[in-house]
Amino acid sequence: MFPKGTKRKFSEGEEVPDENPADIKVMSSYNLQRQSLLDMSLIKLQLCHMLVEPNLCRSVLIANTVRQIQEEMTQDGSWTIMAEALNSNQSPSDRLVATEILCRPSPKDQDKEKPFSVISYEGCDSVSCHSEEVVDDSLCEPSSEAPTYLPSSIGTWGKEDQKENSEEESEEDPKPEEQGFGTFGIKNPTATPDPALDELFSDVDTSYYDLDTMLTGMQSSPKMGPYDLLDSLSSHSPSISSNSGCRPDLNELDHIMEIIVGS
Amino acid sequence: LTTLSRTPHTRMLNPIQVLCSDITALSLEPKQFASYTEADIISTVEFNLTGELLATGDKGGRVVIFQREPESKNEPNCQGEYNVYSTFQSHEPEFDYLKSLEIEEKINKIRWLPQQNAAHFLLSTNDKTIKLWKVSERDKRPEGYNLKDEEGRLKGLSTVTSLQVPVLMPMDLMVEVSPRRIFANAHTYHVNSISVNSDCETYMSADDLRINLWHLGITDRSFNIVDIKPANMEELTEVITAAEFHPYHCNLFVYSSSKGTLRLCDMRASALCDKHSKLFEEPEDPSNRSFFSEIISSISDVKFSHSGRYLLTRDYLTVNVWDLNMESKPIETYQVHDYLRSKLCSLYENDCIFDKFECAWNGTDSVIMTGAYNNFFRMFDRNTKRDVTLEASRESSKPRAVLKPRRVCTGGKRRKDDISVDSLDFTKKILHTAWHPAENIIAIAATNNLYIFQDKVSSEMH
Repeated sequence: MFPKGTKRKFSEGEEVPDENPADIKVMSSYNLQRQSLLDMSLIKLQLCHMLVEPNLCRSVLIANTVRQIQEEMTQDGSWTIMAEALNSNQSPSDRLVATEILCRPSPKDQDKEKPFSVISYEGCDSVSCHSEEVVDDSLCEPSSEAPTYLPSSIGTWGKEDQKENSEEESEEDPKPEEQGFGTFGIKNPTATPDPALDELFSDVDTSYYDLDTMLTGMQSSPKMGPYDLLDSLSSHSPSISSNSGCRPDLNELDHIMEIIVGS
Repeated sequence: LTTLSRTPHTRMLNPIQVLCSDITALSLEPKQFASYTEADIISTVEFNLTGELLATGDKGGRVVIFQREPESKNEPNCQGEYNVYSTFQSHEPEFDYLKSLEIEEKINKIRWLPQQNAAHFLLSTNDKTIKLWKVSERDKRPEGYNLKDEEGRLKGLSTVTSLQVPVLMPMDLMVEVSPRRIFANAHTYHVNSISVNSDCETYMSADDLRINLWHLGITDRSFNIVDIKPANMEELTEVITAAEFHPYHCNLFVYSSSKGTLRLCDMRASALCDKHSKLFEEPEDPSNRSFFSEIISSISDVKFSHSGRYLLTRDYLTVNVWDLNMESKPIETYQVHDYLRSKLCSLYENDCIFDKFECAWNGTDSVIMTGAYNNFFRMFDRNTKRDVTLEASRESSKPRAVLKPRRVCTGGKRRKDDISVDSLDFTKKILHTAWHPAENIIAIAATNNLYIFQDKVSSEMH
C-alpha cells in the first residue's frame, strides 16, 4: 500500500504524451484499468436478470458510473478507439483482469521505472483467479455472440416502465429495447471495447498497479453533459458501421431480445 | 430545550457515560440454530415510542416483538430485560405475473404508531405492500354462555333450563396480532421507507421514485406527493433512498437521494411536492473525486433529531448532521470507516459499496450511532467529539459482560487486539440499529442475531 496520504495523481500521465516510457505505461495502465472498471460495471448491469426485480438504486448508480467513464473516455479520445474496434466477439468478461490483480495493493517500494512483466489475458480465466472476490465462473466464459452493453439493463427498466405505461396510458412505446440501446448512445453495433487495445498494451503489466489508488486519486476533467455524449456517439455510428462490415443493428437487437426474453 | 425530571427510576443519564464507561449486554436473543437460513436475517429493528416494545422484521417476512420486563424491586440486578412478546408472519412471498418477477416477503421497515388505547399498532412493509397490525392482549375470557357449552358447541335448546349471565374469568395472557389494514397496489417500485405523521392520522410510503401519502383508515386510495420518475426512463439518474416526516410539524417531510441530496418539502405549498422547500447538498470535494464519488455520496438513511431541528444522514463512509436552517453543508461530519476509502474498487466489485447502513440518534440527540463491517458499530458524541467502535458478537457479549472498544489499525503502530483493515469481515455488516427513545439502550441487528446493550451505569443504579 502506498504510505498514507500519498495518492498518485493521474495528471502527470495525461499532460503531454512525451516519450517517457514510464509515463506511457502509467497512462495506459490507467486506461486499462478504467476499461476494466467499465467492463465490470457492464457485467453487473447484465446480471440484473434475476428472478427478483433488481435493485433500482444499485442499477442507477452503476449506470451513472458507466456514463461517467464513457464521458471521460470520449474526452481523451479513447472512446473512438474503442468504438472502432468492433470486429471482435469478445465479451467484457473475457477482458476482465483478475480481481486480485486489479485490486492488489502496490508493493511498498513502488518504482515507476521498474520493468513490468507481461500479463496476458488468457491467463485470466476462472481457474487462475484465486481470490474469493473473483467474478463468478459463469462470467468468465467467453460469449460467442455479440456482446451487449447497457441495452439489456435499460431494456429492463424500459420493460418495467412500458408495463407501467400501458397500465397508466394506453399508448405503447414501440421499441423500448431499441430506445434503451440508444440511451447510452452506443449505436455501435457490437459495442465492445476490445482487443485492439490489448495488442497495444500487451507489454504492459498492471499487476503492480493499485486500481483503487489510481482511480480514487484521479482528477477528472470537465465533462460534457450526458446528452452531448449521446449526440457525439450517434454521429459516429455511420462511420463505425462501415468499419465493422457486419450488420450491427440487427445482430445487436437480436442479442438484446435474447437476453431480455430469455431470462 | 426539554428539561428532564429527575426521579430515581427515570433519571436520564449523561450520554458521555455511554462512551467512556461501559456497555453491558442486557440480554441476548440470538436465534438458537448454529447455522441460520437466509430467512432469519434481520432486516429492520424499531423501538416503539415508549421503548417498552422492540420489533424486528426479517427476510422471511416475520415480525418478532420483544417486550421489556418491568424492573423488579425484589431482584435489583434484574433490570428490565427484553423477552419475546409475539411472533407473527407479516408478509408472504408473492409473484407478479405481469412482470414475471417474485415479490420478496422481506420486511423493509417497521414503524410504530403512537399508542392511543390498550392495543399497540405497527406498520410493516415489504417491497410493495404496507400492512397495519394490531397487537393486543387478552387475559380474560367470558364463561357461562347460555347457548354454547365450554367447547363452543351449540347446546340443544331443550337442555337449557335456566338463564345465566356470562362472567369474565382470567386466563393465561395471550397476545393477539391481527392485520387491520392492507395498503396495496400503490407502488410500482420498491418501498424503502415508511413514516408516520405526527398527526397520527396519515403516513407516507416512499419507493425509489415516488412518495405516497395515506390515511391510516383508507386503503383503497393514496395520494402521490412526490414523483421523480422522468418521462423517459432512460433519463433516470437519481432515485429516492429514504424519507421521513418531521417529528412535530405535520406538513414537513424530508427525502434523500442516491446523489447525496436531501430535500425538505412542505405539503402546504402544493399538492405535488416536486419543488422542494429546501435542498441540502454538500458540494463535492474536488480533491477526493473518483469514479466512485457519486456512489459513496448516496444517502442510505435519514433521521430527524428528536428536537426536529437537525437531520442525520448516512452515506457510505460518513454520518452527517445537518441543521435545517443551513442547506449549504452539514454542520458536523463523522468518519465511520475512512480506511475503506482506498478500497472502493474492491468494495464496488463485491457490491459492498451498495450496502445501506442506517443511523440513529439517542434520546437527547447528543449521541449518534451507525453500523459498519465486521459486526462493528460506531457511536459519536456530538458534544465531546469522542467516538467509540464496539463489536456485536457472541464472544464479546455474554450477558452482563462489558463491551470493549475495538480499533481498526490502518498501518502505523498496531496495538494488541487491533484488527487490520484486510482482516475485516465484510459479510458481517451491521445495517440496522435502533436506540431506545429515552434510555441508553440500543438494539443491534447482526445478520440473524439481535443484540441489546445497555449502559452499565444505568444498570448499576438498580
